[in-house]
Amino acid sequence: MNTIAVEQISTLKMSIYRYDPDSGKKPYMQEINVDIPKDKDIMVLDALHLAKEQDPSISFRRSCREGVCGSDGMNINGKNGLGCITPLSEVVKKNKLEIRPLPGLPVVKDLIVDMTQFVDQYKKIRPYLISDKEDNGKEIPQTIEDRDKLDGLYECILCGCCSTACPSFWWNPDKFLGPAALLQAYRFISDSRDTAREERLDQLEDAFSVFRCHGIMNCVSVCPKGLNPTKAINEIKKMLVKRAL
Amino acid sequence: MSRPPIFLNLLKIQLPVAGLSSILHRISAVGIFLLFLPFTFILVLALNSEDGFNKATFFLDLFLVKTFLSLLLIGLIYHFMSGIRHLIMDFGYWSTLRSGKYSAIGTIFLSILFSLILIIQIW
Repeated sequence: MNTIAVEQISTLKMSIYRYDPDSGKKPYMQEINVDIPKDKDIMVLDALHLAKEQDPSISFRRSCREGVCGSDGMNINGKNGLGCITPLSEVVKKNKLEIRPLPGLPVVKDLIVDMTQFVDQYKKIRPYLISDKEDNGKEIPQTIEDRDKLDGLYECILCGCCSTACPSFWWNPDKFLGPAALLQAYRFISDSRDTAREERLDQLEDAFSVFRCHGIMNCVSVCPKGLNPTKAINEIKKMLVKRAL
Repeated sequence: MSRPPIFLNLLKIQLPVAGLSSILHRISAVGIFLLFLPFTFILVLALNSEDGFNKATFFLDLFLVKTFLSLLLIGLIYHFMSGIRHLIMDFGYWSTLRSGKYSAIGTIFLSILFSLILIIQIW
């Protein structure tokens, strides 16, 4: 085990949301002081692991620890983000770090939320290529220009940071699709190989699915992959309006 | 089994300025809705007769009425400016994080400026 020399250590005051469904108690914030190296900028996930060394009952999801799997989405000092790629220097203020689960979703335990609502909305947009062309077992060619249209859309890792930062999704998680699902809806609508464009737009043409977005851009400000769901949603809105005219 | 808790303490969640601008847009709409009717009555009163006009000017000189009129104008100006911003966004502009932020700040700043000019006129 690596040991850190005493003079290189500083103490970080962590406050972590705790909830255990078996305890019958209400959620509470647990204060934990952790020793972090002074000369290195560690990630929030690393700090959580240090806290877990003191209290092994702290629960959170994590897997790849490099911002690819999207499992450690959490609310860090009030802003959603991935613990594994958020350095402490970016979020810690006055030596304090408050970590809560993603807002608006039912908490299963501590920082683990039930993503069912989020995934249900994702399913609704049929996140796969639909083509009425005969399947001859070969790939469907696409021009370089058409492929370029998917940049900024396909990179989404479905961490849920954006949708759970969106007030429209908080108030109508069953009717408003949320920024993550809508970004993916636009990804397939703008794919030249997809032939179900009109049906996809039909599905979105109601007062809630898309039009509950009021462009406040919370989604853009929290996306750990730097994507812009607001822009994609605006494009869908424009398509729907053009069709109606 | 009891329902699982949901973390949604709005005081603990950061709200970017574009979000603040959106909430103010709604609050201003509620304010306009509540204040518009009484001031419409004053306008109708003023247009009905000379006596009515004199009564309306008397009402508009009252401190409380002036205060509510100022609030109505602040709400109207903000709601109008923010609505224009939304229209511009609907046409596909200002949809990056940077432009969204600065357009929201600009809306709030211009609304404060125009409100001050009008309030000075009223008082």
